[in-house]
Amino acid sequence: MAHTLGQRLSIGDQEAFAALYDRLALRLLRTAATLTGSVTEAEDVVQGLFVELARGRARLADVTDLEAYVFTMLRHAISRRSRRAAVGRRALAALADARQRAGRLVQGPPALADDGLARAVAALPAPQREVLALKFDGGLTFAEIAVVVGASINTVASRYRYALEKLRAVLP
Amino acid sequence: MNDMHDCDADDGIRGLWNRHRARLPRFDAAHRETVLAAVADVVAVEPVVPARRPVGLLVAAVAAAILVALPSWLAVVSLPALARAATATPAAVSLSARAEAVGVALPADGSGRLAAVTRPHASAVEDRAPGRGVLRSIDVHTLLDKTHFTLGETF
Repeated sequence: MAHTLGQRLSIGDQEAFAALYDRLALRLLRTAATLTGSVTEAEDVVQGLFVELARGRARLADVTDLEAYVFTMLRHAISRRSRRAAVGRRALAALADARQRAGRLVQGPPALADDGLARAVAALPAPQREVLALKFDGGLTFAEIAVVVGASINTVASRYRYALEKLRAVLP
Repeated sequence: MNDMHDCDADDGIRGLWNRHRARLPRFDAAHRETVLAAVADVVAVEPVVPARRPVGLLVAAVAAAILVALPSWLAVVSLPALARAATATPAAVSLSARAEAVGVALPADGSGRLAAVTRPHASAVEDRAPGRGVLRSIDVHTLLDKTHFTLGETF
């Protein structure tokens, strides 16, 4: 008889997936939104993440820290998406350039609220932005973030501190 | 470094962050149903993807086995020694030294009989004329190749 959430997920228990969604989805969505810069992208990433979890459900029975595991998958999913998006952006930029010359505009993807904080966060080095998102949006501890990003706790804490210093320096 | 320090470190930033978050576009309310329906489809249709085989573990095991075996191969084919033995003139390197380099033991008493090959994967061809022996060649088998070189020196 399966007891843990991981074990229930591993046998494809729908209620277990619903419970996992209710427990983590908002934190995953917020983290993904900060890291991708788009709410729509975040929704797609999180949906893809759950599909990926369902496909590889067999291994979930043995996962000891489910939150860290899921956030690690989220990080990888965003990373893969960013690489693909970089290619797409170049193509879009070329298209926008061509259309601008032709007198037509191109609509970009929906962006996050454009304020000072958003711009300051976007300007942070990616590893610092990542730690900040996992901390503020993901609600993870330094120890959990260290597992997710594959760095030491001290490194994670340093990235967090540097990120805060930079934000303080540029925000009113 | 523990998380208690965060409270002091992030002071106003977290509040700013929360206010910023409140201004974000709302996530789609139907997202939950969409995701769970996709999960249900996968569970119903797609077989379980078996846990990844521990490829890393297999590679590590093979690497370890090679590393364990390597010293004996290297002992057989002591490449620098072999190179020296193959290129040096007979006057510079004695037959016994060259034979030793490839693991062939020569008789200490000068009796003219080839002693046993002392290391695995090496073999020697003995050709003896009456009254004296001539070590014609030594074959050294390596993982990838078989090196053959002739000594052609009497003993």
